[in-house]
Formats: sequence, structure tokens, C-alpha cells
Amino acid sequence: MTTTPALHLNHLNAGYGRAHVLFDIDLTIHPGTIAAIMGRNGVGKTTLLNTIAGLITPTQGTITHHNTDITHTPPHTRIHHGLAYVPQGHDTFAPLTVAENLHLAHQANPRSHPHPIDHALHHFPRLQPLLHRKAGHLSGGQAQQLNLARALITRPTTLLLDEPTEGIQPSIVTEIENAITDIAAQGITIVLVEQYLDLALRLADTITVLDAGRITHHGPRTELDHDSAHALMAI
Amino acid sequence: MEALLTQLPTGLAIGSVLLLAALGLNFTFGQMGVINMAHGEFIMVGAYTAFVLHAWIGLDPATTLLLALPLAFAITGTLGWLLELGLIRHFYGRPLDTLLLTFGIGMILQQAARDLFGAPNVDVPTPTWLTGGITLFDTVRIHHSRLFILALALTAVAALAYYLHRSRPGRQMRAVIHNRDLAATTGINTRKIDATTFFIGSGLAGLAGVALTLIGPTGPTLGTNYIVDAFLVVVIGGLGQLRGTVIAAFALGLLNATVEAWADASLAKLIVFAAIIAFLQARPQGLFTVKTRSLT
Repeated sequence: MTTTPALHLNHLNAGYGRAHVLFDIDLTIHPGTIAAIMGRNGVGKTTLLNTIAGLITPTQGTITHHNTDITHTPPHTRIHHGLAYVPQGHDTFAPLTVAENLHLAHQANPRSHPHPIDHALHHFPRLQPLLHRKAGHLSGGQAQQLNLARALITRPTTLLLDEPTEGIQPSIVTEIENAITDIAAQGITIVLVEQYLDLALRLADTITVLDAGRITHHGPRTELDHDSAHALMAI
Repeated sequence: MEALLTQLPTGLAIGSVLLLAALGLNFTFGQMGVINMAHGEFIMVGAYTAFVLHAWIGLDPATTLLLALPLAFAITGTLGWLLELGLIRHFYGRPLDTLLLTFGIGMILQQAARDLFGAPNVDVPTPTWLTGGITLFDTVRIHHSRLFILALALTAVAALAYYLHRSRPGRQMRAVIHNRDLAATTGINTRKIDATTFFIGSGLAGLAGVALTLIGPTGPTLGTNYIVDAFLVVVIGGLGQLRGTVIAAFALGLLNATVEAWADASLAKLIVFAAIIAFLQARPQGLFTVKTRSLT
């Protein structure tokens, strides 16, 4: 059975000014799967997500999301097409309250969930007592839950996650991992940049390894055991 | 104490004008980080808007004032919007180029004013209901026009606070200012927000200009007299902090008035600048900063 890819990157090249970061990225991600993007620091994982999200304009190549060419679509329109992004570093809209953060995403997106707060609390009940707190006062784990909730409110078909568990206490990491599993179970495609190998191996359907801006490995997770994954990461 | 009290109305008046001039900068400079040197000339354009309504169109002073306020806001707002759209947008991340560019725009506007209205100062008459004053404690006299400017400045602050904290576009503006990329990927059209921010910030300069016609003559270089002090108010208040801008404007106004009461204008300026430098040495971030967990 052939399906339309959720995300298709064709010969993608991108960078910052004169610094060329990504070289000839060809990648197809199927709907409803979790695709882990792995690699050491500085190989271009975040640049890849920033390019897919529209924050960086590719110098060459195309990005297709569910048959729509979005290569030159501005970032705020991409989320209207169902492509949501939770960037690295769990920054929130710090001066706004948690509830305002959620309403902001709701009001900016015509396709968003009609009851944003209920929808957010359904996924992340921990946010309930924090609704009227300034987002800048949340802990890293709480902020990351808020970010995931804010993305989910927009009812995405594809969710880009950049190191969602980085620097977060272990008990919350488990909650976030469970949330990712729940999100995937709803049929949402997830592109997950993750340095934590065990987590990626538990969650992902496919593993893509980047090195120096090029794809050096791509295949189903079942092809990889822990040791060979380690070996790939260490190149 | 009595000396201080007699200077209070003057201080409040200077503070109100500074506040109106700085409120707009609080948006364009404080929030967006754009150094718009033409902001002073937008103030001048606002003042000449009132002049045109009175001298060219022939409206009576009261109608002139009431019509000039919204009209000047719209005109200077549109000028700012065009400036952002046509020029500043292409220079984001290049503060020095922006500074020179907007300085040049300011010069062009000044020359345009000279060509249109002549180099000498002109006057816009004050409505009769603003010409009187009230006397407090026998010695302190407050002109109605200065009370009007104070009320105008405070109304503008209240309206802005409401806009930023209670309205949807205001919250979007705060989101963009906090993290532009995050706002964009949340679905907010950041370009549109930039344009709106510039419109409002520049429009406020127009209001300041109309207010200035109530307390003095209008000339092509009107804005240049206020622009440096207005930038200082924004820096002292803490970039983008409404509360800080209000406090800093009145503090600077009162300081100016009290120092000028016993020193000549140049010496007073020197003392005020020295005080500001000392303050910024001790507190470079200004009076207020955004507090987040990650920064503390």
C-alpha cells in the first residue's frame, strides 16, 4: 500500500548566511509514524527542524507536507496547514500566563481546538493549578508540557519536537514520553530530534542519523539494536 | 520644601510631555529594538497637523485640538508604518544602519517642514477653556493646558496597558517581542505585528506633538529637543516596560524642573545627564526588567 507522505524533503540544502549546514537531505516520513532524527551536537538537527518549520529558508530543494509544497510558505502559515513545532530549550511566552499562552495559540489558528484549555488539561492535568501563573515562572518540565499543549491545541497533523526532554527531571521525562506516545496514537506524525538514545529507540518507528549535515543512516528502528545505534551515533 | 512644591507643576508638565514622547519609543525602541531617530520629527509632524487644521483649514482652537489628536495619531502612525514597511524592515539586525537611515529620514522631514511652513516658529492658539489655571497652597499655579497634557499622557498609558494586556493583538505583540520565532511557529503573523507596533509607536509621537502646541511654539526642529530625553526615559525605565517609562518620565521631569530652578539651562542639563549616568552605572537594566525563572 502506498500512502501520501506526511513530510517529504527533496534535496534540501540550508544554512545561516554563508554557513552551509544541511546538504542534499532527502527524507520521506509516513503519516502516523514517529521519525527520530539523531546525531551528535552541531550536525544540523535543529537546523533541519527550523527549516521544516519555516524559520530558515532553504537555499535549494523542496519541502512537501501532505502533498502541499510549503517550501516558501511563511512559518505562521505552516502551522495553519497542520505543521506544529516545539523548539528546543522549552522557552514559553514568559510574560503571559499559562492560560494566555494557550489562548494565544487558539486565537492564532483557525483550525485549533474549540476548547483549548480543556484540551490542554486533558493531556497535561499538571497544568491545572498553574493556569494563572506567569509562564516564565514554570519549571523546565512544566514549561515543556505547556509547549506541547500549545502545539496540540492547533490540532496538528505533524508535530516537530526538538529535544523535548533535554534538561528535565526524570519523573517528568516519563510523563513527556507518555504524552508523545498518546499523541502518536492519535495518528499525529512526529519528527523527534533526540539525543537520548534509549528514549528514541523506545518511541521511534524510523531512525535517521545525521552527520555533518548529511543523512548517514535511515531505516526502521527494528533494523537497529542498541549497540549498532550507538556505533552509528559515534561516527 | 516650598521650592520643590512650586516646581512640582513644571516637573509634572515636562514629565507628561516626556512621557508622551517616550511612550511611542517604548514600542519601537523598547519593544522592537529599532532606534528610530525620526521619532522626533514625527512629534513635529503631529504639532504641524494642529497648525494646518487651525491656520490653513481655519478651524477654531477647540475643534483644532480635538480633531488634531486622532488625526495626528493617524498621520504619524501611517508615516511610521510606511517607514517600517519600506525601509526599516530591510535593516533588522543592523542597528547602526537603522540609526543612520532614520536620522536621514528625520532630516528630510525637517526640510520638508521648512519648505511647507517656513523656518520661523508658528503658534497654534490654545482653546479658551484651557487658558486659565488653578492655584494650590497660594503659591503653586497649575495651567489648565498642563493638566490637560497630564491627563492625555495618563489616558494614553491606560489605553496602552489595556491594549497590551487585555486585547488579542496586544498579547500577540507581547508574544512576538518575547520570542519572535516561537510566536511565528505558534501561528502569529510577526510581520503584521511589527507593522502594527510601528503604527502605534509612531502614532503616539503625533499625540505628543499636538500636546506640545499647547505649551510652546511649533518649529521644524521641535522634535529634536525632546528625542534624546525621550530615549533616556525608555532606557531608565527598563526597555519595553510601561511602568518604568511612566516613573522615569516623571522622575526626569521633576529632576529637570528642580535643577533648572537654581542652575542655568546648560548646567542643569549637565547635572541631569550626570545623574542618569550614575543611575545607569548602578542599574544598567533600568528600573524594571521582565522577570523569568530562567533569568533569575
